[in-house]
Amino acid sequence: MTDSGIPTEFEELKSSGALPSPTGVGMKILELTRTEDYSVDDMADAIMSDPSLTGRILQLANSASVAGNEAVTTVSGSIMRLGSSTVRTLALAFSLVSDREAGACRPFDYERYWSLSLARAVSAQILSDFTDIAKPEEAYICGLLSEVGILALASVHSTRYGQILLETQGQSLAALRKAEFEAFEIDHATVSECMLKEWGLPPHFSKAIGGFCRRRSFDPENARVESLADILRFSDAIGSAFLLGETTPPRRIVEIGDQLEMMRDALGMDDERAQMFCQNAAKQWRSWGESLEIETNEVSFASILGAIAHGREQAESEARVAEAEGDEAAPAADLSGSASPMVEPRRKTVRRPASAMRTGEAGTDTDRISVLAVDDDPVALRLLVRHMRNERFDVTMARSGKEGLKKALQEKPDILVIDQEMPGLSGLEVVESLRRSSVGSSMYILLVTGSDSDDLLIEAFDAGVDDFVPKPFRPRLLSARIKAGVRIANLQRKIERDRKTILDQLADRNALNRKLRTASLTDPLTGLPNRRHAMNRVESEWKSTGRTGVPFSVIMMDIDKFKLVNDNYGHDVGDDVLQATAQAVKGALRGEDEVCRLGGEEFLVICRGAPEQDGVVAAERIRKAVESNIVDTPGFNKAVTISLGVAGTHAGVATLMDLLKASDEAVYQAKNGGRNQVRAAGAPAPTPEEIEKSRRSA
Amino acid sequence: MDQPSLPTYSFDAVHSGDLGGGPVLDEATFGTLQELAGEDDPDLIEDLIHLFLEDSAERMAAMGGAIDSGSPETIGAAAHALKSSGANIGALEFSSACATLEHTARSAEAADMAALEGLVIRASKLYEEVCQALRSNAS
Repeated sequence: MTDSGIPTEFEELKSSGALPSPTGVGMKILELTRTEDYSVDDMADAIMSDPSLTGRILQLANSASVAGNEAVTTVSGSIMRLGSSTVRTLALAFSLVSDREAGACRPFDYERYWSLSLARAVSAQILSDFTDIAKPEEAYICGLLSEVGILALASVHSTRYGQILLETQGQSLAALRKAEFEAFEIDHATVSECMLKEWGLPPHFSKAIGGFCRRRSFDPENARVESLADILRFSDAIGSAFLLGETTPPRRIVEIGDQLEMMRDALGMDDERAQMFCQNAAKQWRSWGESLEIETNEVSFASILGAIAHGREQAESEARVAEAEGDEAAPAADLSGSASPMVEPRRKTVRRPASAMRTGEAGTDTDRISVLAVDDDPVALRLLVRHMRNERFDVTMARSGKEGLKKALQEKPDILVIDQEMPGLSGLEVVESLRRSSVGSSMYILLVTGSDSDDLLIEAFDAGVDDFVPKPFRPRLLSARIKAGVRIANLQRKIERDRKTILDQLADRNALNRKLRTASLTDPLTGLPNRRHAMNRVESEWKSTGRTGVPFSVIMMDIDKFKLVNDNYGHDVGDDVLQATAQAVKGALRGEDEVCRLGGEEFLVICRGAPEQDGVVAAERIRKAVESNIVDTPGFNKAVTISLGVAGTHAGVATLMDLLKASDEAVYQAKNGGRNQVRAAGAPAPTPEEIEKSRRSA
Repeated sequence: MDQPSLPTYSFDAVHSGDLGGGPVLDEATFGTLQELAGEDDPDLIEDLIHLFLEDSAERMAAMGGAIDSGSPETIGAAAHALKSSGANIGALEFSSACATLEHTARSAEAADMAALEGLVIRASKLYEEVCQALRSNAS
């Protein structure tokens, strides 16, 4: 152990540099928040640089179990609602999810891992909301990261850990942890705890996750759900129920069923309630899955119940058989942990061990690369297919150019290996046609040719060939070239995926920018431009007046005795009064005038091209409009009045501040003079030249 | 003769003296094929032999017909295909005869059908010996 309480074994894992770690914005936010004195604005800025992260954080801030009354539409609003430490952790967790491409450990089912983690996250969120044991958003994060140690071991020790997963497949998680400890002297429970500490997450997170990893089942001795770890245990049962498949071992199914029943009892629910509860979790799981691009599936509770009943029968009959055979190691005996969930072959989870070991170093997704081989020479074709199958590709073949072109367009292989010389359509003619199609433009194309004349090679590159394979085949060279092709094909796929993400993000970002821009310049209550906009406007008017000499006026106004309205009628009526006044003022303006709400009961009108005397006329019109405008709200039904102060630009006003101050002062005078009246700052009458200028500008 | 690594194949046959006297089938090529087949695909070599025998027969026939009809293009195309499939199956001498034939058929002297005919006859003789060796090897 080092001083920090982090075991040296973990330090060793860390020094491999292969531990899953947050990328991009997640990392930036971690760094930003490592010191105490970061500002919420810095954090909001960092988050907003990633639109999809922004969307996910808004989604959580507005999700049912977290949300208050009003929808949060801004990142800083979300930070306020969720707390900056929660948002920080979310950014981290989401960036881990979005960086889940790496898949070096072949027997480890990454999709299933994230799918189950997400199911735990949403279930934990709902459960904690129900039980009040932890903050829902914290439970969400713990659920999402609850088995991060397994992910870490799979990333760092991909080959060895792959073997361990296969060896312990179908056994308890305790057995998995034991095997981990034997191989690495650290198990995934400890790794998970260390990673959370490493990321600076609160100690109660690591405690809950550590507890959960060490004991997966809720202890029936505990009548009550007491801790976040208990919540994770039930979440695990719910999530595992969502992912039940034909190959889930009966023993595990029984366990899930038992856990769900314990949950129902511990939470004091009836069957129907528990079912609705799970169905709600499933719904959120699917919606989050869509947003995080994590695979989920349709969940039907009836079929889950059916599967559990069936699993129980099967387990019973297995136990009977074992008893009859005098088999002491009855499979249901060891229930201290649950069956290793990671290699449960729900879909194509576990690949054949032989292939996993053999092509392990080839690495990236080779088993899903599809190849089309086209050659009129059956000997060459048979050899090509042999080579491809050795690399575990999906191979289809065609015996002529024409057939090859048709299959290439239909099957859209990642790699096309095509012979140059064929009767009918030649290899190059096929390549040229393909490159003109949208399907063929990103295909990796290897041309097989017996000729190495420069002319042909140049012609081939012009036609769009990516590389050559000389004929007759030299096996090692061929597989080296194909591997190069796989690299490109993988890259190509990633580019395609990224392009899609970028387009999505652009769309997100544009929508968000629009929303934020409008939000940042609009007062949400009245829909009028806000103070920030008002200040921008007067400043540009001031500058323009400085350039052109055309005057303008500002009218500052204040609703009379507004505080009494709020005090006597409540804030709802107060809001109605503000809205009605805003409308009345707006209705009394000239086309080029603009009214903004400065805050509270204070408004500002900007009159372009108007000297103070004209501003006074406008102000008087506004005053009358408000005075005669009955605010139609229950229990109020009368008009309010306003006091107005007008100040216009003239030679005696040196700065914009002076102008605004003068209008403020005039409002004060109007209030003092008995309210419901207009006062002017007292600009001298405009000179004939100024009148001339105003007229020209109008 | 014992070939411990390749028990079922014999590489004793050589082409007759007037064809150069080299080995009919190349042992190293078969070694590579054997390796490629590994345990996953024990039928690979058998398959290749049958595929070659079937495909080459058609192409040799096409070549003969092309001599009669005086079509050097057809001869060139057939020779090209035989060149590479022959090499793939280890018939190196036959393959290089096809390469010469292809080159001649596609070069400026193509009109010289007599010279082409001589080359086709040579390739046919080599081909016969290849077929014999392959058939005796194929079970």
